[in-house]
Amino acid sequence: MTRSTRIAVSLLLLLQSIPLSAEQQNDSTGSTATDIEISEAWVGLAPPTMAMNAGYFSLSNLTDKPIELVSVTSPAYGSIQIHQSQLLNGIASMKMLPTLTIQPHQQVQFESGGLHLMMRKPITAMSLGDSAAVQLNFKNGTSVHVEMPVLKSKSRDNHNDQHNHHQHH
Amino acid sequence: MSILVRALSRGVFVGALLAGQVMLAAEAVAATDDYERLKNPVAVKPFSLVDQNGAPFNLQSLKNHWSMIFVGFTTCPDVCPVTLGNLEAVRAEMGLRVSPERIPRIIFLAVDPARDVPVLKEYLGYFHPQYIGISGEVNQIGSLIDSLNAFYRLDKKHTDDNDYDVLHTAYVSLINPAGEMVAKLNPPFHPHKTAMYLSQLISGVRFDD
Repeated sequence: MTRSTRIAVSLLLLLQSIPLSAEQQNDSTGSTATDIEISEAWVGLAPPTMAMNAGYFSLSNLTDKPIELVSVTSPAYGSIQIHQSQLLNGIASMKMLPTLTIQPHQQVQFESGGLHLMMRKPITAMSLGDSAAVQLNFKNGTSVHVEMPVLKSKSRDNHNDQHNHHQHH
Repeated sequence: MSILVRALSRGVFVGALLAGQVMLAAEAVAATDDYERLKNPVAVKPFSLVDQNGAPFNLQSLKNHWSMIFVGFTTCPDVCPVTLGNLEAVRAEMGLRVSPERIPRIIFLAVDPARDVPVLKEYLGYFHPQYIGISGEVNQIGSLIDSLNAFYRLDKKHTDDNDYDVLHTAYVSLINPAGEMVAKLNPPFHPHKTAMYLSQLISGVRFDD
């Protein structure tokens, strides 16, 4: 994957105590603590009876240090949690993860049947064509913004659309 | 997984192990795709439930049709919608292989009636108008669950908890036109593979109505 296809996510250093220079922000070569890549992000269209959506993406830690996802927020939802569907002895269940650590140079897939964002209390019902502005907040103070389009399912066709879409961010 | 997360919350460095285990857990869910034909068909015991239109649905309703019964609940955000979507894709693909009357109906057994019954019709209509949703009294749900050798539990943390998860059997039960369970289908219900399996199984069975 070339650097240009990386999700050039807007990075905010929330820790005021650590000044972030323009040079650091534009440094695309470094394995700085801000190298986090989100791709294939989408929100599953839900039946109209459900006041919640599931969110999916691929999250890569391109740095040399573990990163810890501590919260996910969006103005489009009342609350968002990290959940994991699991299948144990043939029984499906779900558990909430308080945080999620991604090891150096590892990629974690959020996908149906596994990790997903549990996005509750949409401010307005989410339809096809809508997208949610979502912010992933990491323990090191980094935040990553991603636009998550609402899709009925993850298909090859809309995969390309998503990827292009994200390059603008 | 829970142990690992707890370890992390204490600030313990777990190293590459964590990422590996997260991926293993995800793969364990995604990679299983098998079908279990029962050695001996199991007759479904009598039960009395209600469909999404308020009509009675009982053992007799299962007769003379092939059916796939999926145990779920309407507030399930991740697995249930995907499963219902996949099962419809299975039906569509079976249309190329077997006659229409042999394509199994999809029956969603909604095990959380307090939250499911008020929305069941609208919920299923979103997926496909031909889906059948059934629910009702807890003891009658339990009776059908027993026949399917299945399991569910409302995971309420306290009596006023209205935001609970529901643990449920992940397999789909295949019911023959005699009202007997003949196979279990395990997730992820890959549409093509599942359609091939079902078409082969159903084509090899003859019923004299």
